[in-house]
Amino acid sequence: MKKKVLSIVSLSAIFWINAQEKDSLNQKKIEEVVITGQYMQQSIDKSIYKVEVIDAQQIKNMAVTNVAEVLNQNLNILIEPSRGSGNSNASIMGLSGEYTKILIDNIPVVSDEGMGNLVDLTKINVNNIERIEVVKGSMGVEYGNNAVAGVINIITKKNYGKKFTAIASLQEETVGKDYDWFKKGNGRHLQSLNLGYRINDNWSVTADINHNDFQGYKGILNGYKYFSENNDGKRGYEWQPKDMLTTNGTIRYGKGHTSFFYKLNFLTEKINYYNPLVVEEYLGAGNRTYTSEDIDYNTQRWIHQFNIQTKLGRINYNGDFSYQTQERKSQDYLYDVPNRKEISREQEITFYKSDVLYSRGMFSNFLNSEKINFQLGYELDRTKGFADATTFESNNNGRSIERSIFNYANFLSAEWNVVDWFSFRPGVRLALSDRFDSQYNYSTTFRFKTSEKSDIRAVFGTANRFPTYDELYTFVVDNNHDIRGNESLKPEIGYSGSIFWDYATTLSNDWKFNFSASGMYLDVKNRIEDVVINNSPLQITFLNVDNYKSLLFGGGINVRKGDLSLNAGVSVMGISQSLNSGNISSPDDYNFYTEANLAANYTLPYTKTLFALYYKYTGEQRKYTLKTNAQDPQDPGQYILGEIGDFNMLNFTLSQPFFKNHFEVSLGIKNIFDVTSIRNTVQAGNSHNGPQDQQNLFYGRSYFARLNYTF
Amino acid sequence: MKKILFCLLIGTSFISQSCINDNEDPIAVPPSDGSRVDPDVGGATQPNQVWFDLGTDTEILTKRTDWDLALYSGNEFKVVLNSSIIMAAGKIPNATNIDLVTEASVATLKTQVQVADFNPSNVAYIDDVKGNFPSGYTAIEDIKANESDNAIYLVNMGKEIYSGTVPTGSVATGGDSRGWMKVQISRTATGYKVKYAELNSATHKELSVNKNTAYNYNFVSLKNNKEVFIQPEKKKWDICFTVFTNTITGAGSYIYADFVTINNVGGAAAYEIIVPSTSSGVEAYTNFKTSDIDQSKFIHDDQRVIGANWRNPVGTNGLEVYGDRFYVIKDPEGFYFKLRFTRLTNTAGERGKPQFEYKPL
Repeated sequence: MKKKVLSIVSLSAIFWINAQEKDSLNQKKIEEVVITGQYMQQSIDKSIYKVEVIDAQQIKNMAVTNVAEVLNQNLNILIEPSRGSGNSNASIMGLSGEYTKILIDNIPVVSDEGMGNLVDLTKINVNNIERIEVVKGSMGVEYGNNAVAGVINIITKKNYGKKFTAIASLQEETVGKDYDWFKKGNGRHLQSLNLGYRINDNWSVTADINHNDFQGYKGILNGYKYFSENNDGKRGYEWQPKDMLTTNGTIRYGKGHTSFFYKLNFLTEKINYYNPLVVEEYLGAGNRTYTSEDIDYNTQRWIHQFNIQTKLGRINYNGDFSYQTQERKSQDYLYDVPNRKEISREQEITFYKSDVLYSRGMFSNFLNSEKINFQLGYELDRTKGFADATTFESNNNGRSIERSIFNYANFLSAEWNVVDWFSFRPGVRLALSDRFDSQYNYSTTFRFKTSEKSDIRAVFGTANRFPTYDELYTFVVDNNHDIRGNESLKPEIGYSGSIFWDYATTLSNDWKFNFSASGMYLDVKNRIEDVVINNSPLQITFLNVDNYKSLLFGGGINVRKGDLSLNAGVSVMGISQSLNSGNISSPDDYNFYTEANLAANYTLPYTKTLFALYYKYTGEQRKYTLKTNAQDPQDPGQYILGEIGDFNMLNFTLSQPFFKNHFEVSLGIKNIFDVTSIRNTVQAGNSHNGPQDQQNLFYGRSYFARLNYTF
Repeated sequence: MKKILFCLLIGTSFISQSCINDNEDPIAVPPSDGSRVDPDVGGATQPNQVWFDLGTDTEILTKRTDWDLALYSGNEFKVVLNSSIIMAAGKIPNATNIDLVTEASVATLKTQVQVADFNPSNVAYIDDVKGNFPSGYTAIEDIKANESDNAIYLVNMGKEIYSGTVPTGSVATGGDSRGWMKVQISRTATGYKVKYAELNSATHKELSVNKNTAYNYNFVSLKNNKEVFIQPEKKKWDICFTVFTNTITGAGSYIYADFVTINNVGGAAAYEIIVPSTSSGVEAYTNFKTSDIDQSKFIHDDQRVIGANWRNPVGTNGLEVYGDRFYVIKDPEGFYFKLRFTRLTNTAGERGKPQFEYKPL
């Protein structure tokens, strides 16, 4: 058994190194490793979960600027940007950001409202990413609360193959049609530098720094200099300007059974919010000017992570210790628009703050048996959170939120290799918290090796979603309104069951084919919704009343031969929701829609020129939505089928290496079909404003050029 | 290791390159020549009613809680509730002796005599929001000549002015409840007699007032047991800044801050001009001349011509003063003015600090 563990460790070390080598353009056949949901990192083929992997090469070929852009290529994932906060959250399988757990190096990431959920994916840069693993389905046993729709696990690079590595890159990008190399207010400018140094066989260090300067997208608006006596609301940006700097440093040690790393991540981000409205200011003697109340949002994030994998006797131990903080500050200032100058600046206030202590430990191989392996683990976090009153609707009557929550969980699973071709893994988690009742989560996975070429996996899992700040703490009470959060809400419960079939074959002439097919069912009970609990006087609060079900069928094909690779997939998803407004409830029939994607890469053998094309189609969706009568607030309204329009995303990249691959120039077009906003009639309004019927998803076609230098 | 630090240093220096500035090119804004007024509404709790006379550029301030009932001074006998403090009144059925009315006997009625509870039938307990008196509906019926024909009313005394702190940009239109009273009003030879008491009191107080025809109304404060002077004389004010109990079709009564009424009872009239989004409201205002006045558009029978139409406090972009509209006002003496609103807050963002510009025509 010792030998086996040793070989897995050394094997995975080799995989790690191999995965790096994939970075260079020679596309050897390499077995991919994954960590999500595994006892120890292992080959993707051996994984008991179905893990979708996006590797560094693909990320590079896409010439994306952050993780949000990468994931938009995946089926059933949509990145939804929010105009107000400047954040972008992942919606997986039709469920919004709070249902997906975002991990970096297998542990949850701090966010505005805590940890792991509602993580802004534009705040994660791609330059130091080794691969992104996506698992769809509820994974509460492994990853705890909020892993309802799935898990996105971002694995960073911790060492490079060579003694010394330096990669510098410059990328210039248009934003829609706007671009200027020099002038403020146009385009996107990226610079990054990655360094790696192998001190000796055991120690290595890496460091990187990235700058992502997005100058905003005006769209139908006219930028920060615009004003109108009419106060027509056309000032500012549809996508606010955002300037982000990220640095990482990692030191890694590996010898024998033991490896550990310490990683430090620092992010600073500045978002400039330009108010669409102007206010006339009288200066006396008939003179006047126009001012706007603009806001700067400054975010700082620190992530410290220490991970150790070692053997305690014969027991394998994998431990994580992490301290993370994220603070978003806001600062209001008054800007004199015609005179282009700042008049006064308020004090900086904390807008959101999270402060997290986290640890997880996993112990396995108690029996040292090839047949049966147990994993016993704990996970704990103490999260302190703060949200200013201004983060809520109507300033929340001036009530800011400060809370501290402690979560502790134990989980246990067993992996039983019954026979060569059949193994299964049942698991259970007991989660305790000083805020919520104790929660149990369960999982069972089966893996059948039906032949050398094909596998079938069946996965069942559960997970909880904890209520958000809005749901717990909203307090909008005045002479006319009564909207309150509900601190006694229960977590929502998600159940998922799925089945996956994979088939891989290589034809005699070196054509490699992978086929896959899958079916998934997800059921979320006790969904939280704002509900009218009293019509007169009108009182609204949040209750666990709704249900959500989805069915997902998918198929994929991957073809490779030499310098050509093709990936295509198609999925059909049906969603059934039972919604309640307090007065009426919605029909719960299934509404289906289709998505499809295609990724094609080809490298010209002689010039080594790479052509990469990425395409995704998202079909028209229908969802029930509550339509109320604005003329008659007493009318309970009715549930009607709203629509989300279909759209096509197509990106194309051309890369040419020079000087023995030391230099590389890439040119490309993103969003060739020039999609900006799509029609969406299922968005929610608030107590005063009806929903909008357009959703901003992209900022139109853009062109980019990138220069890469590898030492 | 040194190499790495060196490279990082180089890296940071080239990364911090793009702090580029735009060429900043100031634009001149044409000046305006009207009078500017910052009516002293008093900030986010909006404690004041501001009675403004455009002809003489004078403002008179009263506190919203200074008065409870307004007694019409013309030929008719009508009683108007103080809508700025969210009052309401309902007739107590079958009650003939005010001293016998108790808390218990009106318990059910209390649940109905409510304001802003999203019950469409609650409009019966407030006065005609158009303020078209003496002809408009009042919650307290016209006072009849025969004393015993006048019913006893359960009066919801509304809300005190909010005393807590209000977040910047927000507004608080009312605070603690001012409680309930039982009220019976009758005529005297020269005016009105008001009998009133706390609900459980077995005795009552009385106030008698004589009609003063120089004013629209005689005002009384039941809390302070006296007649009070609130509005200026009826020809000496044109517009009033106040909190206001309005109605929303289907939802009943609803409280508005930053509300502006006109002195329609005293003879003022007004109309609103909204310019299409393709042209400038300010330019249209500046160019508006006496010859542009359209007599047929004047509204005489609704005090809410300006109302809350001039601003949007709940838009998706935050507080907003509409820039596409202005108002033409005829004062009780027959002079014409044009008026537009410029601010809803002061520069620090505090609500209840409006500003407007106006000019005689």
